[in-house]
Amino acid sequence: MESLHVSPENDIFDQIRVFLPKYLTEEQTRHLFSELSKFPENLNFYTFRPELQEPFLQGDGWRGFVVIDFLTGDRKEVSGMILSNSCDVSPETLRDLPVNVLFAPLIQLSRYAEILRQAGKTEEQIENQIRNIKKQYVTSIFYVPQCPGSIEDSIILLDDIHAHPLQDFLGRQRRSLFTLNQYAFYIFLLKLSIHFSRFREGIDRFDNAA
Amino acid sequence: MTIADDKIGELDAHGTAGVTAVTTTALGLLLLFAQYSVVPIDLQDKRIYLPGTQDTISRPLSLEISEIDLFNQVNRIYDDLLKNQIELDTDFKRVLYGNLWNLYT
Repeated sequence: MESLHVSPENDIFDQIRVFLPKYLTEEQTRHLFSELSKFPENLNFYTFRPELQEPFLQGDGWRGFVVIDFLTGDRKEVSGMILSNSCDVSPETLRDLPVNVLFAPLIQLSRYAEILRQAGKTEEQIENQIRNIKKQYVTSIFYVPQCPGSIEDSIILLDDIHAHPLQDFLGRQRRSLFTLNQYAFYIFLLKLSIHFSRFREGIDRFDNAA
Repeated sequence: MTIADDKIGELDAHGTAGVTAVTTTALGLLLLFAQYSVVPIDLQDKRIYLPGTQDTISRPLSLEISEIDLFNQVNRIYDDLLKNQIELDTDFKRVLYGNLWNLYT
């Protein structure tokens, strides 16, 4: 394979560009910088551009997914957040085989707090837990702030992932709940990355001879 | 040390163009706080240069914010999440997962 020589200074900027949105205008760059710099207090998570409400994008919230209880086989229609890559679930993409939309059901934070109270947890314990959740510090939970007129403060569990066949979902009564803006999408990707991909897993996987 | 810090350190050690760009960005942000939009005297005489920067306060901030600044912010958040990550307490987890079906909205 032919090697490509890249000077260190070009290399780092090229690598950085890989992680940033293409075609950022000056205004968008300034805005994104401003939004990122306000994490974790920044709860400005949504874009309301009409043209982004119809396609299925990674991080979108939709009403109309179906979860199936593994033990009982019961089914339930729920609201959920798309974890699949946007390209993988685009209805416009021609495919040889059917695909599934991976999603995680939304859970209202207030209802979670309520069952914690019923379980005997103190208000202080609950508040501490919710504070950490809202700062996105709980590894297996992604916090989704309220979206006026659409959802209350909610969470998804990154280890509670379900699959819904795309074709079935397209044929159902469904409703867009929210679309993440660029800032929130980055936070979401970082959470996914930390939860699923850890280079430092702390396990020696080498053969003994190596 | 973050990846970006590491890279910046490497560049710094060799004094390459990369570190010049980083330094320029930092300087740009510093100058932002030291400039004025209106100069108190008429600057018809082009030989007069003030220590600040005339008229740039009205320019978009993005002139001073580069891709590496954005990347540094993403890196900062990633480090923050890594450093502060916690697992759900066992009791809280039990309550949550024991009631999942009813909690789905």
